[in-house]
Amino acid sequence: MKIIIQNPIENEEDSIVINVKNMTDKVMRALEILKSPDDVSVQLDNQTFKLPIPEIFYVESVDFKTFVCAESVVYQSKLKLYEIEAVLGQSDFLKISRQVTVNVGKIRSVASAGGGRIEVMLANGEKLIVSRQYAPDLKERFGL
Amino acid sequence: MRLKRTLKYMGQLFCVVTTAQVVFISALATISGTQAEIDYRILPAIMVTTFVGVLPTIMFVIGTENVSRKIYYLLVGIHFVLTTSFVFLSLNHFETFHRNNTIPVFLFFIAIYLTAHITAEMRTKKTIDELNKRINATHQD
Repeated sequence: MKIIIQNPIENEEDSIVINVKNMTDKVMRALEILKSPDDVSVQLDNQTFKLPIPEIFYVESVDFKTFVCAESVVYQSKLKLYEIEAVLGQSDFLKISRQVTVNVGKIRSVASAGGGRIEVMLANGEKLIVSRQYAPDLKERFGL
Repeated sequence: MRLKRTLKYMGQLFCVVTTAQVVFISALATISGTQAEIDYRILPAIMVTTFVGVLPTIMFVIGTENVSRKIYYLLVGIHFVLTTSFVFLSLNHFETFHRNNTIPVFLFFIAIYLTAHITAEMRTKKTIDELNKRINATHQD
């Protein structure tokens, strides 16, 4: 597939034109990434922020509340976990248990957590357990 | 959902252990030259003993995803104690247990647990090594 990148003329808005005969999986994935929002609304101390998606380390649901964890700050979201997962898309994020969805790009290493369980270590040093049910998804994501 | 999975696993475990016991007893009877038939009275004993031995597995319905390594091994320890106790009591009840066999049976149980643990750890280690390679390659890109 030929890829053409052009600079827009002055005062023109950035735009992407996809010129394909068939909508293949690859094109659909590219579209999904392009259509996904760049940030999510989160709350901290009764204030609402727009948190850029690449800054999210993981999203966790605890006691019916959704927490969005960045490098060192934990925000709360009004969205349910499945709603925020839909916003984040599947290209960069991976569900590792029923309660946690992690940013794959923030995973630095994996280790054994005993009893055949896998533990992922994130770039900020936090450790999360991958449930047995979702371990095959993690392997598949890294091409195993 | 987790209850359903656990019950399914318990059912599979029950079938495997019962079959293994019947095959083992038949093989032993054949090798030792005794009549290769299983006494009809021993069959309920095999099934009940296996059933009570499988019962403690229900404790894992609580889920082990979010527990620490210490708590996980504590749960496995409790499972081991419960399983061996239930099996010993059941064998005693059916009068098929001889006290002289206490240590060999106990060692046999430890061997089963260790084999299961070592196999799981080896499989996980292989996966982890490969995953770490791929993760490092991704970050280098």
